[in-house]
Amino acid sequence: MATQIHEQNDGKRLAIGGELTIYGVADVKERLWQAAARYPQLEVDLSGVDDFDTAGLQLLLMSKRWPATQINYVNHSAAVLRLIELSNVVLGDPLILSGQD
Amino acid sequence: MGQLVASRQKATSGMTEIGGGRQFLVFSLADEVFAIDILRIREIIEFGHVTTVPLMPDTVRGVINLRGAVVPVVDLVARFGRGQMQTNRRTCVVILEVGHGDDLQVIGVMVDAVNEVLEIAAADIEPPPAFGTRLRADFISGMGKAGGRFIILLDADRVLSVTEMASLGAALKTSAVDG
Amino acid sequence: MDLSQALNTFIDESHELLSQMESILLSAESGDCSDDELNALFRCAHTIKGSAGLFGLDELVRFTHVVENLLDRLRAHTLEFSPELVSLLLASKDQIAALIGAVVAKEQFALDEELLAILGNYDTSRSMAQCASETSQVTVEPSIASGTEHWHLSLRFGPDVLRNGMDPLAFIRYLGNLSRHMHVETLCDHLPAIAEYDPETCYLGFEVSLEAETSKAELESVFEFVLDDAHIVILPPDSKIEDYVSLIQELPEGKQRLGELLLACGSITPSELESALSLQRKNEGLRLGEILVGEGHVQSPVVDAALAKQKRGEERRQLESRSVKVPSDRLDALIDQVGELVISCAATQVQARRAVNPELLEAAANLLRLVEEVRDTALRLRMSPIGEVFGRFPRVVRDVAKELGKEIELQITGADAELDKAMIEKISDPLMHLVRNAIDHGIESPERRLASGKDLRGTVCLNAYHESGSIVIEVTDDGAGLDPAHILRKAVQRGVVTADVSLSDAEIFRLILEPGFSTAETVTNLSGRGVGMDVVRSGVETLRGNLDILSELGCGTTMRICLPLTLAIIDGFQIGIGASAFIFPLDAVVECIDLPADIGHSEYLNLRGEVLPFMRLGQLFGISSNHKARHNVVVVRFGGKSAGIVVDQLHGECQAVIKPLGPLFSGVAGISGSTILGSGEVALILDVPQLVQLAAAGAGGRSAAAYMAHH
Repeated sequence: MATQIHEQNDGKRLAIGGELTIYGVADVKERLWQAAARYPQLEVDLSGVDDFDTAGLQLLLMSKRWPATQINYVNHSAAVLRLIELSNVVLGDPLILSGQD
Repeated sequence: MGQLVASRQKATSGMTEIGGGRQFLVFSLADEVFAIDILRIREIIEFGHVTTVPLMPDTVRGVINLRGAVVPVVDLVARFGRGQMQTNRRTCVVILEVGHGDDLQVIGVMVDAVNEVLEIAAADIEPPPAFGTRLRADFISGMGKAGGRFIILLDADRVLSVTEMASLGAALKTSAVDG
Repeated sequence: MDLSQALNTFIDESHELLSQMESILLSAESGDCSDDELNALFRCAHTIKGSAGLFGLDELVRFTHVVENLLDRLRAHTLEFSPELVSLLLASKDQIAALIGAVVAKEQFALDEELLAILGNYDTSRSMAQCASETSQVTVEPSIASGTEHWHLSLRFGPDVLRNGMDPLAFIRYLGNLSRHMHVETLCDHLPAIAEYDPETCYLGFEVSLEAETSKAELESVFEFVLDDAHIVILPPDSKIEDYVSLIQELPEGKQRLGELLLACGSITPSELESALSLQRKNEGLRLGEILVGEGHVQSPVVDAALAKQKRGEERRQLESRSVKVPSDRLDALIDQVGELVISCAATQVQARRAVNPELLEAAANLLRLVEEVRDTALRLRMSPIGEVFGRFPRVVRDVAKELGKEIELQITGADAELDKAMIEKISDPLMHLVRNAIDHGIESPERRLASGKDLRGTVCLNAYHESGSIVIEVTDDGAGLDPAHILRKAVQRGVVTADVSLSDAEIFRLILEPGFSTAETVTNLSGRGVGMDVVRSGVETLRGNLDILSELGCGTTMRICLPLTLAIIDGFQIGIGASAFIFPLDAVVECIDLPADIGHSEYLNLRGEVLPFMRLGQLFGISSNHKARHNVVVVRFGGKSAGIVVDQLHGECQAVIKPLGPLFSGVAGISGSTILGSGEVALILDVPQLVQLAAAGAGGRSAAAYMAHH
């Protein structure tokens, strides 16, 4: 599914849906970077991400390095959790592992 | 026939919009008038050459060529147990679909004339009477009230039940041998 | 790339590979397995595993990998076949098939962990000891026997790897499925500053340790497609400290950092790390190449050569099988269109004849000839060899024989005989029933066979051949044969026939096809419930075929199925009775003769010395006619029997696109379908096998009614 980015709460919250992979990562980066430039704190909902790859993971890692903005990821989807677990990275957000996986 | 197609399209597209009524094709057979749900009807054609299939009961008059498909033609007069239909140049064949899904069959029935298309609301349809009609009760799906009279609504699946008609042939023959 | 298309191809190819595996395993059971076969067996599993990896089918990869290891040992002759091993591998093949089935059905599948464990632990201690005894210089260390094979991989993917369509973590996931245990450390050391970050560039590296039973070649082949875009170092188990040292020296990150990573992966212990770093400090001056010891990178060129050779082999194999996959509904559409073309052609010919124009007639005749060729080619597209169905039977026979404690040999002949693809699936179940019956009821127990002086091993034969427009399939057994008296008794008992009826042996045999009939004394697991034969008969009838039963008490039984070769188009011979037209399949027509005027009430003709039974079609069908002239007799032949069919007029050859008549007409004897003539009229196609049977049974002048009463 193609990447979708929804803005909520006047841009303080983003919801990413569809694929967060090499194919859409440039767009997501632009939106994320724009939002990060505006606000000191951002919340990003990942529940709709159904496809996730190394490029996506790399983006999350990079986004954690924003100097003046704290980006919190919530509601990690199964696809995202799988890769976080596989790569053994620590992003710093609390992860909710549902029993369904 | 164009009118028929148009009214059928109306029927399938918005049944609930047309005041909840179903549409029926009314036709004449011998001296009586019957009706069939229009959703069953594919088309109506002129009666032409029918190829007889040997060893079949009178109910099945034969088969016809419908644009490359071989379609059986049923004699309803015989099916209703009243002898055989006399055809003339006004006779038509109504092509119907019976059954569902994998069992869908295309069958034609001979009629004397096609009268009209009527819309009958569900409230105007009464259950078949326990007695009084000369027809088998299970052939009737209901009695439709229209224009002050009652029209027999036929249950196409039962009337044209392929399994029943196919076994008729065998039954007739064995009784002919025994008797 | 359309992934679903590729997935379908994978599924189809896997079925073929699994089929091949089963064949080889069955032949291994009964005899020797050549090296070529062992290699082929291994390659089947290997190919399925690799492709499964591409589609991310993790469970499939995990399971197939373990099977592949066993097959690898078999082909290296460090493991020998035993009946137990064959059964285990057959069960594994079934599991792989089930896993693939779950993929097709998009369902979850619970892998049989117990089977997986058995496979993983199969014969480890014994084979290890064998290895030890063969190469006595090698001392088997306890760490190897316990099964830990610790590999360490250093993965530095190039910056363009993401842009080039590769996903580094997908490779790592695949590695995980090969291993019992995996530890991953992701290196973020090279992530750039926020301002310079390009999301499509890869900055990540990975240090991975694996506990797996594999080889350096296999691990390198995993990364075959990224070798240009990545720096991959693989350290096999028991790599010496020097190897780790050179790794540390080679990689761009700091030595301390690398040491920590290796420690985190469990690839080295803290003391080893200590000694490595001190050794490295000592060797600061030495060139990299001199420190590389053991397997290191030296193996790579050898592996490269082997991989190249394998790739050439694959290409060669692809060249050999030049076939095209065609969706079957497109093929059906083509056949329909060709059918319409044939009818159109016939109509054109009719007009051409009427026009009395020689050039037009010649053009029309040429057209018809070409269309016939197209028709034949189109029909052949739908034909497949019956071997496709026969191929399932060796396994079935083996399993059933085992279950019943009988020894059965299966002989298959005529697997090349072709029939319409649409029929292949539908005939499979009836044949299965017949074969099971043959083994269950036909072939006697080994004791009984010995007592009657027969070979201990029973034989079941599957045979197929073409005959006059039909395909004949026979299932023969050399078992006890059918006992007419016994069958008749049971039939009367069950009310299938009355006690006073008189039937020929052939007719008695046919009684076993009646529903609810079964003479088995004990209802076995497989058949004997009286359901099987009825299913066979209706299955054959659906395909417009016939089933004949031939048997000799004490010797055996043959079940013979005759099916029309195609359900689509035939060459026909048109005849007339009264005003009705009928078509004979031309293949079944031998010749046409006049009916002698003095035939009287005789039911037999003298055809050049041969006694020919005949029947009057008009009488059979109840068609009256005023035909005054001499009648014609069409001599037809089927199943080794000939008969004469008396008709009024002969109309000549024609093409007939078969239009099935539908269930309404299923009871009509003597008619197998219909067609549309060039004139637009419907003509009925005659069922020659039925007509021949009627004539031979002496139905002669009797009507079909009496015939149908008995059937």
